[in-house]
Amino acid sequence: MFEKRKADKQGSLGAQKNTELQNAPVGQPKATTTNTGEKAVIGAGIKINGDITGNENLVIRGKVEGKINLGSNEVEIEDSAQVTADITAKVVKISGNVQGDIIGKEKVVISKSGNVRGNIIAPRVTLEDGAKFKGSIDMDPSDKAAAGLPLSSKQNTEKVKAVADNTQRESSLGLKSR
Amino acid sequence: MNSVADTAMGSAVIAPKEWSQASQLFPTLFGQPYMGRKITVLDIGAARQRTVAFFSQFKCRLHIVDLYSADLLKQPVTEMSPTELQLAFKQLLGLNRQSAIDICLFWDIFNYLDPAQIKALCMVLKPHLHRGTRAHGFGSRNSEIMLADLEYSIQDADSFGVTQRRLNRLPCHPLPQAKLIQHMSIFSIDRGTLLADGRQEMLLKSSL
Repeated sequence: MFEKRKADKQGSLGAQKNTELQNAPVGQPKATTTNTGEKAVIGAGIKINGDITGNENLVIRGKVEGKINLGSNEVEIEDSAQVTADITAKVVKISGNVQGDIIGKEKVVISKSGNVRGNIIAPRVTLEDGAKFKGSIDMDPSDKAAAGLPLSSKQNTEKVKAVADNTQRESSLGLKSR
Repeated sequence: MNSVADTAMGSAVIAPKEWSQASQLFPTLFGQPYMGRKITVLDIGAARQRTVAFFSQFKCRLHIVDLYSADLLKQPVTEMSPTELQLAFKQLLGLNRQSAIDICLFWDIFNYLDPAQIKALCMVLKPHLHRGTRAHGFGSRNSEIMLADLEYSIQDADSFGVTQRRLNRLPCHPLPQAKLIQHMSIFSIDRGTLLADGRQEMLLKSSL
């Protein structure tokens, strides 16, 4: 997907490349990723303007504008990242800033430092308290494997079912817990 | 209940304490005839982990807009015309034209809106409601009441979580139920329960 470089011993990726990339014309990004063995990394000093596709996991610490499509892989957007892009991936984990629509085929996780403006479609969404979010979350848990649900959610579901069933008995109506 | 504690070593930020409170009205709110179809929920509070977790059990679209953090509430411009107010709320809510809301979670936003803002918000919501739309919110026993700035979440189908709001205090305009309902042309109060702190938990139904 990208021209890859081996990470140096310090694990730095952007530091020595920052200078030349800062001077790179916008829209013509140079090779900006580092293959760490399991994940490609876009460093904190890197800015990419364009579409990203591929079949390996991606960690973003820098700036990305465009589209990200890693349908069967994981995208991790770290605290320092500024992403203005629609994202499609199996799993999307967000600790940084994202503006755009997100499709998580498996799940989307927004941590407390995350700031997201856009719409999310995923069977499962986790949002930590403190996270900033504006938009809609489209959830369809029908794809969820029950075994993958946290215990508290299972208990929650049972309780919801019980309450809904009671209400249904009373009013012949009821929100169907799935 | 302070969220920030000063220590001898300096100030240390402590996560706000959260407590759970039973809701008499949630079971009715969540017991409406959705019949397993996809529901659309508008939550005008801050995005909260428990609320998202609760709705993730259902096939639904959860639209979250934190009105409490909007400049419109923090620094209200008094000379805004009704049209300008509606435009401001429309932009804040960012609802699709086709969005039909089944459940509105107002929390206690009406205590922080003046009558003109309440009317404007209702006018903006009107095209997105239907006859079966239900809403939940907290009003006040009277206009003299001193309200703590709180943040809410759904803990369960019969309880909500309460925590101190992290943001600065907002201008407060508590209205008793009778006055509040005068400004809410699109909802009527279905049931109400007075809470210990002077808030009134309300279940609202669409007046369309």
